[in-house]
Amino acid sequence: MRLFDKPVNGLATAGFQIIVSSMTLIYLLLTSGDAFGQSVREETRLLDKPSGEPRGGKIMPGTAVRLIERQGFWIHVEVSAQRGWLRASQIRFSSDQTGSITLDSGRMGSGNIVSTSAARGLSAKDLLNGKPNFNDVGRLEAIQVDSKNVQAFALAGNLRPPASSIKLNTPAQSSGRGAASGNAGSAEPASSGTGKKKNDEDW
Amino acid sequence: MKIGKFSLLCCAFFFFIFASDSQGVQSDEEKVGRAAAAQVLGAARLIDTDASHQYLNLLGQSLASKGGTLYRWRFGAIESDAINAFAMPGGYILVSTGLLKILESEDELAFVLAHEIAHVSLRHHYQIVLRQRLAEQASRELQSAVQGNDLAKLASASGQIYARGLDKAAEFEADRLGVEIMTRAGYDPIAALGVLDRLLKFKGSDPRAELLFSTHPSPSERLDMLLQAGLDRLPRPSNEGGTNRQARFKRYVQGL
Repeated sequence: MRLFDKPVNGLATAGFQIIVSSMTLIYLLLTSGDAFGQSVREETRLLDKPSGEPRGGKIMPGTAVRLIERQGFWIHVEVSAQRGWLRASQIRFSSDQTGSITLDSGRMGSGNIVSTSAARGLSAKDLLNGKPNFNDVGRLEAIQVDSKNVQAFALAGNLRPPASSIKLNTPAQSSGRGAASGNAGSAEPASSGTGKKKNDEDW
Repeated sequence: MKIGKFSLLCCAFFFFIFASDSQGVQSDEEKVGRAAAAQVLGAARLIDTDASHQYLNLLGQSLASKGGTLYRWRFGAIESDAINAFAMPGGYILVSTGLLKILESEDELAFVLAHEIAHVSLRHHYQIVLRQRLAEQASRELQSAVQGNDLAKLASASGQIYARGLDKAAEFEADRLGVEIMTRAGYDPIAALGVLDRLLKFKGSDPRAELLFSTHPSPSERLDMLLQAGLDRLPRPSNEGGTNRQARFKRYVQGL
């Protein structure tokens, strides 16, 4: 724990400590940005490889994980200095319950600045103010594909519909308010807006 | 068997008559979609290469047949760096070249198209139009627009819907049905994870993804929802034939 053998003068030590502690703070902020974005959803143990054997101790729900890589539905993670594999569904990717407000507003600030130069044809403004182009609708409607060609396309791509019936379940959604509840007057477009992306790190 | 074929032929015949009337547009839903498509195409035009449209429509049609609802589907790529796709009532679907270029496989493109097909089949946007007609404020303009056949007014009214987006629940629903559709067609459901994974890399401040992020839940929320819905328990197809798919997908993207 001791960084220095000799005691150094008090002021310098204090200054050093301030620097160290502020660095620690920065470090914590950075790592919380990185790591607290994703957490373990359920009590589990890490596996040594995809579909492998469990190793190490129990990991409790809510423990932060760092994502390293993905192989199919398996994700290589680091949890409390241990590395191992979890199934994607054992990880909570979104982090609406945590997060630093200051980082959020910072992101949103820069987002707003960039948005003024986002004239790339498909901004909200373009959609609102653009002139309808019925000529291109006509071109779109003129495209014809033969159903025989659709079959041939599926065959050439070796698309084989699975034998079992395919149905996902509908998880309880706290944020949902019913399908397409509309927003004619109460526009709320940015409820999941720019700030939320802070923890979505590359992995 | 013969009767089946005959009735199919009859259906096709009547559908042909239905489809080949003067405007090619019959239902109110299609009329609304046509105007909305014109509005989006006014912001970013349809790409010129006709060969490209064939590929996108072949892929789209092979998915739409698993969507459960009968529409005259039209799939088009629009010229824009923005990363986005649009579903209009009646079966009009537009995907930006910006989005097409960040995708890595036909299976990923299948998820994108299937998500949009799901919006159409679930009538997410059309329901808003219907509701807006009922709503006092918007009713006059929209009613008169439809009755007076004023497509330009209808178009500008629908521009608002696409600028604001749907609510989260509708997006989650389209993700789930989209994954079901693509998997039923024989595509690998893991490609949905791939697309969302790719979107994670675009921050909220990236102008290319700005509208997408302001109108959709964050990619990580969508990932969570799909995984909780059982995405990783769906059957995955074998890799055979994947090279063929990859080759034609690459050709398509390079030709944009």
